[in-house]
Amino acid sequence: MKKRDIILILAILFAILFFATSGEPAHFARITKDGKLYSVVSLYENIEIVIGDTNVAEVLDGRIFMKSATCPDKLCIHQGEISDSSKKIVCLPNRVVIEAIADSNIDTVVK
Amino acid sequence: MNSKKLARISLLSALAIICGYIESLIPVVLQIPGIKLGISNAVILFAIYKLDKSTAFFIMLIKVTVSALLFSGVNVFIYSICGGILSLLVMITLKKLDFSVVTVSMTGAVAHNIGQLFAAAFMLKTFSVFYYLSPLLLSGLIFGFITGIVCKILIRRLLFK
Repeated sequence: MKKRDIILILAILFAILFFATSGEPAHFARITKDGKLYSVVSLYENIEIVIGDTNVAEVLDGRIFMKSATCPDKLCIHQGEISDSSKKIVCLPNRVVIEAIADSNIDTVVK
Repeated sequence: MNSKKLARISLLSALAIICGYIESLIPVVLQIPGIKLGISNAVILFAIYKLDKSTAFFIMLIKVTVSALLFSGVNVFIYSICGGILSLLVMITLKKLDFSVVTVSMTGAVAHNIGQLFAAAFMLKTFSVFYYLSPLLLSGLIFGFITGIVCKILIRRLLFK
């Protein structure tokens, strides 16, 4: 078990971690308000989405982010942009959740 | 080809096929398709070390073909042969580069899974199969490690296969 073996195994482990933490690249975003589906938008059309009377999200160049919100802490805006299925934007006070999804129907079933 | 070599090839091929059958009997992690025990990889690895590369390739070919004919079907044949070829190439290369047997086994198992995943992506025409990449890589490392240790002992203890 020489040094090169350890390096190779570590390289594979890093690859595992890398792929485990990156979600699927997203083509759509699902927006839920109060736990109910509000809208599913395509990430390929730049558009502004008004969510209720509390939040405004914007799609820009394949990414979506919270543009404005009436919540006091504005954490949802600071969460930045999402473009893959590994992250969500959550506005807790207004109960808005934005998730980036790969398929606009149910998740693709393989097999 | 003399009868000694023929006997060895037949023995290892039969062993590899049986290993494949045993693998199909032992379910590992049902949610993720493709996670296998990988003992047939150990047979191929053994062939690489004790015989020569083309013989090992031949044994792998026999294993994949007969297994698909006996047990599963054309689809599985395509996945298996892609995984088998990639794993064989990787194992031969790593052996030539002087890596340890256990490492060769681990990386070979990982390569086998990756090969199968690419075949699945091609057949199903979607990249979403790579969602399974990390658990498959991890199981390849773990089971490759176990079969690698067993194979290492066998290579050392069994004289000239």
